[in-house]
Amino acid sequence: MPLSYSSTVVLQTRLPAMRRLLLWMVLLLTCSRPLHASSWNELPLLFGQGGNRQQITLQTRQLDVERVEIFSPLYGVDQNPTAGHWQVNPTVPSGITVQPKAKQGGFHWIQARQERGSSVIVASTVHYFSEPAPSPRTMLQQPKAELEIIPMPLPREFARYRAGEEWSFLLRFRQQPLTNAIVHFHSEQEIQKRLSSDGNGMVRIRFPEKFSLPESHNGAPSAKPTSGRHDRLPLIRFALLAEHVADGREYQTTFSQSYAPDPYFDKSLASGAGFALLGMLCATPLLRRPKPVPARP
Amino acid sequence: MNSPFWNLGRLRRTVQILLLLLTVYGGLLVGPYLADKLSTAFPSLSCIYDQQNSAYCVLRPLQHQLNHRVGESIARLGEVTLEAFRPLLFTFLSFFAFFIVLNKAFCGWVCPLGTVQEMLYRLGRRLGLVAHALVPPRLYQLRAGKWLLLFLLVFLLPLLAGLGMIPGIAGDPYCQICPARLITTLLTASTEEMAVSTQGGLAFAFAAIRNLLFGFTLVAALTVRQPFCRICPMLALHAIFRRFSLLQLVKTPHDNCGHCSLCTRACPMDIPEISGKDPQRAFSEDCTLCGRCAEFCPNDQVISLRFGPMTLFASSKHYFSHRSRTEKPDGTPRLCTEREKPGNQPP
Repeated sequence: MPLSYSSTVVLQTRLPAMRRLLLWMVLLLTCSRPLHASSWNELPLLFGQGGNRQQITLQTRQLDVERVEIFSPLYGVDQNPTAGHWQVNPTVPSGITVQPKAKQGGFHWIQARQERGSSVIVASTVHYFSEPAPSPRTMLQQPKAELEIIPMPLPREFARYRAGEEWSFLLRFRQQPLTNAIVHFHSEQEIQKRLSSDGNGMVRIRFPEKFSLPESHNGAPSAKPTSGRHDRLPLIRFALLAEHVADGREYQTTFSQSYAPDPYFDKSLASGAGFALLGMLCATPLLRRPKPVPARP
Repeated sequence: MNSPFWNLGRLRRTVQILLLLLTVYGGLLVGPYLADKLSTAFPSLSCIYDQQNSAYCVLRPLQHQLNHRVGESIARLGEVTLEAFRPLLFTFLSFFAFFIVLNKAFCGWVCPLGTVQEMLYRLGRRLGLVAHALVPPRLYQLRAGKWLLLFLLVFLLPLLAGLGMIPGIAGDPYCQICPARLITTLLTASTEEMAVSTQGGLAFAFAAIRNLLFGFTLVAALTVRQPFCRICPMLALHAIFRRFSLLQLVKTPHDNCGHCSLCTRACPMDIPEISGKDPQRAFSEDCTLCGRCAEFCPNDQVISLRFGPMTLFASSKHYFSHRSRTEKPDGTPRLCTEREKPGNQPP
């Protein structure tokens, strides 16, 4: 529809002001990041890409990593602040390779850090190396970054996060629990949840029941079952994201891991109960009292 | 042990129940991580699949290390080093650190599966069900079963899986079929180990066998003492090391031996050798050091439980007369009215 004379005049007279407004809007959009990433692909992530009991290869995404730090279960156990803590080269194109030191196994906390101006982004994950090690409890309690999402607890060595299960995480800033703060759950299947920390900084997350087999897509490939596991379960990556502003700086942190389907995935409880009943039936002849043998005349 | 309330049987039952609680739910006490556990090479069936346990059964790391360390190391030709055997050595050492103290008492006093089977047998006695004792030659045939399971499922198949000769799911075949996996997880109100794979293949077969064994054990235990223990590879593993522990069953032959056979009737494993004249054979490969033979031996100092030079418990005429007032050697409780009847006095 052609513009009328009056509307053309209005446009011509107000154009500089509108242009300025538009320019401001564009500037605002480009300079300020959204409060949280709106999709899985926008999250700053550190994720394992494969490994074995001796090493793991990690990749980062949406991060210009300055340093990658590793914290072994020895971190914080003795007074030496460098024990159980080291850095690796983050600029390897094939991925960041992390190996435990001196055959020290157990859960290792791995985090990548990016600082730009007033923005600090830390992406973290954990990996288990199967060698004897102290409990990761002390290492988890120790501060490793300003803003942290700490699993409370981590799944056991022979377990993992599973669909439908509820797990707790502690959100803390400079060692203090961050109460009533927002934490975003994202899965690689674009399931999102908005959660809030309670009065103790704890966030309780129920992993989504819905579990469809993951496919490799857009950057972070689907998690592969850890080498050596017999169950070969499909896994879905997830990340928790939190943000906090303090002293004029914006802190953002993610904790990423993967979760498995619920325990009954591809399984039948009814069939299992059926086999158990069959076993019981097989044993029932034992319950019969033997007939008394008649005495010989 | 001359208290009117306490006897060795009651003491053992109390210990069994406390240790059942500790092994099945103890994770709530000691913590969730591997490093928190009492041991990762525990000499009883404290199942790794129980998410709240306090210790891991030694059979799991044995299978795991034979599969992933030894087998895979041999498969990568030329990489067989002592390093591959280091975890296996540590597993045996951890196991032995416990075993040297309690010997096979881990079966008779600690094992949660053993405790559940004993409780079921007691229930069977209360319900008045028939009691079956296993006698030779069937008993001897069954004895071979535990050695076969130990060799095949704990040692051979995991090694073959590590070598890549059989599928990876057969890397821990004993854990796949162990009924303790079901019983202990069901005690934590988890039914997930009962679920059977719908994908067929070995996963289905293992789960089906596990459920069948579980169902069979549950009903059979009502009428046969310790049905699964007869073929348990843990008992076989214990049997290998039984002479290298401080706790021992010691027998001094007596003229009555071989006549009354009360000790064999009292034995939850129906061991006939215990009533024989040969003291060396009394501490049989099937013995679980429960001490019932000593409790029901009517002669002084014939059967005893010794810890090094110390006698912990020895049979005596006095103890036997008290003990047999409340229970028959086969485990059947004597009711008050029955006890008072003439002619029902202990033999």
